[in-house]
Amino acid sequence: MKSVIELEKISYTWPGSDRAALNIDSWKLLEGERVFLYGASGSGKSTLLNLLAGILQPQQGCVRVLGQELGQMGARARDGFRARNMGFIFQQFNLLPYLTVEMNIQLALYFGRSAEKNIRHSIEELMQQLSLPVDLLNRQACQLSVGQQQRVAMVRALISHPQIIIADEPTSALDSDSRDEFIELLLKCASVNQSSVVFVSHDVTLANHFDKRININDINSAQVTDHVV
Amino acid sequence: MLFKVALASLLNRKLTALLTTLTIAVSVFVLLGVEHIRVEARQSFSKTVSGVDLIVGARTGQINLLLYSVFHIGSATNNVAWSSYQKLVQHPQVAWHVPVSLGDSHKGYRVMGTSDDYFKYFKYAKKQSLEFAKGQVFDDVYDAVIGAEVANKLGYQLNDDIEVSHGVAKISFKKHDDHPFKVVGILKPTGTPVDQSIMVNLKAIEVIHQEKTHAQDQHADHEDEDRLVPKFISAFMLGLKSRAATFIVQRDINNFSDEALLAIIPGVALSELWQMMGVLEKILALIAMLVLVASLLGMITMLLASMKERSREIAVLRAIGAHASFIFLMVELEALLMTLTGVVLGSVLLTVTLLLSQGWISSEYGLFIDVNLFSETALYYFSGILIMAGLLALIPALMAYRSSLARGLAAK
Repeated sequence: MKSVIELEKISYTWPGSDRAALNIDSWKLLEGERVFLYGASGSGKSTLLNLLAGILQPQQGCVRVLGQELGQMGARARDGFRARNMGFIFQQFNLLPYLTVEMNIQLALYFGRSAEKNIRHSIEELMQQLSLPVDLLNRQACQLSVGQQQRVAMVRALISHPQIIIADEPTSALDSDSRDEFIELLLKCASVNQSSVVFVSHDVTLANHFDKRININDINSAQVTDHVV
Repeated sequence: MLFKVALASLLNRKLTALLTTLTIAVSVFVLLGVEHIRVEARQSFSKTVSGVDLIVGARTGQINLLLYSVFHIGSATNNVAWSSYQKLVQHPQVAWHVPVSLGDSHKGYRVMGTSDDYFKYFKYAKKQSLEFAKGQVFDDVYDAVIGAEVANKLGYQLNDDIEVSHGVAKISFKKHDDHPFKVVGILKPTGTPVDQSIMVNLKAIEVIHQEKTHAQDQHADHEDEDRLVPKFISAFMLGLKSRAATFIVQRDINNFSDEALLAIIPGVALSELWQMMGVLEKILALIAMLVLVASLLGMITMLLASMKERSREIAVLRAIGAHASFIFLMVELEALLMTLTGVVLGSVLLTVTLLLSQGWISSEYGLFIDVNLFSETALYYFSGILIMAGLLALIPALMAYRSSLARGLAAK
């Protein structure tokens, strides 16, 4: 199995801090793997996600995504790489509230410099898969319910068929009934493209959707109990 | 894409964006307004008289003489004796001469006593002569020729009667009711104070003023009208045979021993007027500049303040792959959009204001302000303002750039 993410001897310290937030000796995410990453706040999971996204650079070690070392790329190249190969879903505020749903999705494609021809069709298809009425496309994002917004965020994350999907507490703002449904939907769509999924959450009850479960403290050897991110 | 996002982001903050734009619009209004009126006023003044080599009056200041003799602003402090006038126009260099007698008015419009030579020799703008829309020059002692504005505002037609009051106020206690004047001519519009003037025969002024002294004796000596010779005039205009003679004649008049007189060259007097106004103009321009800077700083403040509440917006953009430079450009674009809208809005406001007040300004001051703002100078101002805005906007834009690099993905 190919690995899509490889972390080696990573160390990251936030500027102004005298303690490392993250120390990871080695970690791999394989192709098609779906991982539940458990971490409480302050455990360094935000730092980890920022490193995976290429937004932050570790002071030591190397982050390899899809075989490419992020540290070797220029900042602009990293941004483009992120847009094309990674899809993000956050707890809330995923979308630009003042843009329409359609523009929000198109914006993601714009940054990925997608060459896809029939974008509108793909968007509508995905929306249907996620039970989102197509007429939502012309609504301003802020007019949607939280549940709808989260699913639109999923559409946006999936639209460029990224190899890696990173979801950071995407269900925390949803009511408990919808949570399981959301995760199932996410995993189903991911499997279509054989995308790998990193699902970060502090809610252990959700872990049973995933084959692989990791506690971030098991891979992060830094002592960060006091660190507030 | 960048444009759409910047615009949508601005519209999302409609209220503050609008207020900021209004602030800029007001400052542009002031800046352009001050500059435009300055230029227009000068042009208007300069167009008022041409082809007159010298203006002679009692010895007062240059500007004073110029203002009352040509612009009908202010009054003569003293008069010129008829005898002096007669003597001086004998000067060999004099080609033509026109006497002017001021001090009377009709419903707030100045009445000017003069000879019919006035209509022959007085020119304005580019050596343009006075033309009649209707009627002709005065013939009879009680004939009057009125300017276009007077005819317009008071609705006079040929053969209408008008009374003349002494003094220049709209309401005068001394009305010369017994001798109404008859409108025999209406001039075409000139864009100069002539439009607001009423021209009558010099002899008629003399009759009126004689009546002042013979208050009781209102019916005497009217048969002698044609033989009436004025005792005083306010000033007279001279056209010389050669330009080169101007300084010589001027000196001769200034040194005239019979009476203390002053001869001015209109162009020179105007320059002195501009010099005097120059300081005021510079101060006004400076104030206008400061107002603009204040409004642009207001915009920067608004953008900076918005950065805090937009941190999520920026984080989202970063997450979907926007480079920090996109964020930078977005902020710059927002600033430029607001400034551009402010500039356009300010110009429109100024144009509308000018349109509405044009009439009033010309009635009150004899100044004709063109409504058209488009000039090279205006374009320089526009570009200058946009550049300044773009430069000042670097502050919030760079801040956004740096923070978007340092800040991580969407906060929890």
